[in-house]
Amino acid sequence: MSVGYRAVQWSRDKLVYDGILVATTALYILAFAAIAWRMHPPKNLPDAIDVWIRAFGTAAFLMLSAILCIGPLARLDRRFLRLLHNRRHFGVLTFLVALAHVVLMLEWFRVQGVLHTLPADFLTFGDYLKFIGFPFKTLGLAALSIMFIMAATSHDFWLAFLRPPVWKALHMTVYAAYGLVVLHVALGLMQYEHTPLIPLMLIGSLTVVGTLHLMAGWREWAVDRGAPAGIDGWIAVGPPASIPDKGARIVASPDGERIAVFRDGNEFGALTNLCAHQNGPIGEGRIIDGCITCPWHGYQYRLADGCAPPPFTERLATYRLRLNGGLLEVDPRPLPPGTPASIRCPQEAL
Amino acid sequence: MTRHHRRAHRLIWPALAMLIALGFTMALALRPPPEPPAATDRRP
Repeated sequence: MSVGYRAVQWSRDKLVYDGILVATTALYILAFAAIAWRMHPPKNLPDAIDVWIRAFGTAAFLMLSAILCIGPLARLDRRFLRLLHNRRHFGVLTFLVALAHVVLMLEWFRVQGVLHTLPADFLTFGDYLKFIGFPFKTLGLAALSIMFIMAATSHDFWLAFLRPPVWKALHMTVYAAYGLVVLHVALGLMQYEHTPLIPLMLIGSLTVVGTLHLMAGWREWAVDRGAPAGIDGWIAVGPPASIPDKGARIVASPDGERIAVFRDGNEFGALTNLCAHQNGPIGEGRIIDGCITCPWHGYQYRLADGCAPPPFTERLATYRLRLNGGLLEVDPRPLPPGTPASIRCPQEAL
Repeated sequence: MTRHHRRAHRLIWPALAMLIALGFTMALALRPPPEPPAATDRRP
């Protein structure tokens, strides 16, 4: 981990990020309510609550869509990495906005004295066999439950407790939550409101989220095809000079994990591309203050042995490197984490 | 993201995208025609 990185404390960047996030969300909700109020002035209290239900509901949906765009955007353009750093705060705020949507819905039923009829919306089991008429509130509730689990486990404590692969798999259920929310809107509001804005919002979100994922996925797939291994199993990385100083080239064996080959002047070291923190793509980071620095959250490791500088204890698997006929080659069989394996190339090879 | 995660992602993601797109298209195509304004039930 980076000495300068503070996992729990509030840095200025985090405060600015959260400030912009909260202000934008509040502005959207207020603007939605103001426009809706002006176009269709509420005739009674339930109508007024309904405006807020829609304002919070559409805000939660658009926020969830935006969250899903951050990952592929950061992969396609490094400038979006800033959005990735505090994505968990974005997720927690989205859950709170969705929760407010549900609380307002309960209030809508309560002020009309029909709260007791609400369970029937979930428990009329015959409706689950229909498509049009499917209990859409159940879909929303399922999505909210997923978002609650994600928000509740968003802290680094849960990341360390569950270990990065399990935590990452758990947080990938955000895609299921997104699908449930799309169907919640399509089978709910879209069925009795015939404004074109609702289908347009859904189509726009699905198109943007889908296109970005396809673009990022295509790029990742090209990397994952891997380089062919030589007779002795070693993989060619390229001439040492082709690796940018303080940067890395990522290679993959056809059936193995990705390997990040870093260069610091004439010293070269190969490490797993998986950061010990969140399995972030460490090969997309840079060498800062003499240490390889993960682009996601600033965790740092020494080039020579893949160990985090003291007092931190994270260690990454390293790989053997060699210079063969002017080409740098890597052995794709990982060494135990923390094994020194860097090499120095002669000046004439650079 | 590990290789296994990426592989799972590539299997699950297109299937989920197809399901969502199909569900949305069917919901749009099968929705009932608009009712007269007086009879509109605005239930969240």
